[in-house]
Amino acid sequence: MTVAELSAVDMAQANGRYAVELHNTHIYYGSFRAVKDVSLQIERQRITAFIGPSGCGKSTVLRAINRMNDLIPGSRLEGRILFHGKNIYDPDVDPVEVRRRIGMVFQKPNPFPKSIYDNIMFGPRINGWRGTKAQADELVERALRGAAIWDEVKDKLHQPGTALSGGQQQRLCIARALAVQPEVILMDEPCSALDPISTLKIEELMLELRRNYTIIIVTHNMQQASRVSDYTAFFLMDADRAGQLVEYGPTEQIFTSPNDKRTEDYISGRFG
Amino acid sequence: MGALHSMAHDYEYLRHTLNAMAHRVQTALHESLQTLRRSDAIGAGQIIRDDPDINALQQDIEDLVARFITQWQPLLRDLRRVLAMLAVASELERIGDYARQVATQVRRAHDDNHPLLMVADLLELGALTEHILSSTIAAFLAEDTAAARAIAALDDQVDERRRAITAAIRQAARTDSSLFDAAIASIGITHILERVADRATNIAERAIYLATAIHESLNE
Repeated sequence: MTVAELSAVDMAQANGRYAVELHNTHIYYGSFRAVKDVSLQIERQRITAFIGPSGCGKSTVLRAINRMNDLIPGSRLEGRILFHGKNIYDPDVDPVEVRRRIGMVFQKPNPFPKSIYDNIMFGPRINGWRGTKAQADELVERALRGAAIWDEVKDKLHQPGTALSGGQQQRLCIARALAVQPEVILMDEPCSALDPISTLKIEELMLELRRNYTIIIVTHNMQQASRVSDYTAFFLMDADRAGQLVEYGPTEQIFTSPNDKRTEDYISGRFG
Repeated sequence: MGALHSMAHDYEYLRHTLNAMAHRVQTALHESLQTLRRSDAIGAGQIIRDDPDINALQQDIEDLVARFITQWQPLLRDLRRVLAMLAVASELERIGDYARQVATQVRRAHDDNHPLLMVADLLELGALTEHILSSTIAAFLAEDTAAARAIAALDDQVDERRRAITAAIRQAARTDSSLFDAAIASIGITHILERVADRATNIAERAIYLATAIHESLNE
């Protein structure tokens, strides 16, 4: 059964508690091992934060979850990443379909140089959209409402997405990700280029989206991780410069009494 | 590294200010007991007048903690440290009030000419509370959980000693009704000293929380 075929299967039956599971995952760029032996299970409809110093492999692990690293020449993955119980790195899995089901929002807002409307419809169209104009309008509205930006842009849907403010652009990118109806949304430092108010809007949106989506966020902002996430994974580079998972658990526990001193030292700002 | 050094520097300044406040409060408590020993209304008046200085130190600590949190956004033990300092400053301010209340009782007893009863016992109780206070402050500043837990036993001694003194004062007042006002004031002092020990125990609990992130009650 391919990932695409799973869309008809009841999710609760198909995968139960976890949206994504990493088992003994090693990631290489050429001969360099960037990530070593990471195993963790991401709970469905929860927000999981990946934290750690720069270069510890957290973004690499994040990108591996929707096969975004495939686009980097020489990248290679050992181990398994399960989505609905299916290894997304199996030869019969289409990475494009994986990326539709597991969307991504990047550090810098990157709307296409198109209208707001066309930004939203871009994903559905490349996935073979066959609906009517009215259905497209409905889809655009639903995605923009889902990203809490509808009220701000409903009167200028045909203006360029790039004309919006940074915070609005980021919410447009989230709306664009929602338009293809993903189950998981990966966010790679989505607020690092935003002002504090825009950051709080994105955080509120994440908490809203958690009702229907599983979210994994990479962040360097410890306060943000403690504010929005349910679970936190702390990564650190080992002596070979390979990223490894040091500690993973409920955010409240990680941010009050972590088990590993390295986690405490990092969160307290002792290094990184 | 530079930033971390500055955070450590700011924390040290905060700790120093709290230590200064603790010293000031300990001195006020000690001096109030000395006025009790000497039945010294003038000295008691000075303690009452100096109390606002302790209150001002508490406000300084609140301002420093607010600035520290704003500037450094501390987490985990660093955050617990400054939160605990805020709570401890509040406890110390209350203990300063208790020192003032002892002085007030001494001055009133002097002015009303009803010498306090069982002064030697009150001073003994006072010495025990002073010991608890100095021990708990040392435990807090050293983040020493074992020393903090040991405070509970001392607090029990205060409670026990207070009950015995109170019973004796009541007995004396029953025997001689002219001692009624002095008995009320003397029992009031035992109550104040017991509250000092309770507040000191609260500080010990903060020391444990700071080190372990667990709220542990020592007053049970």
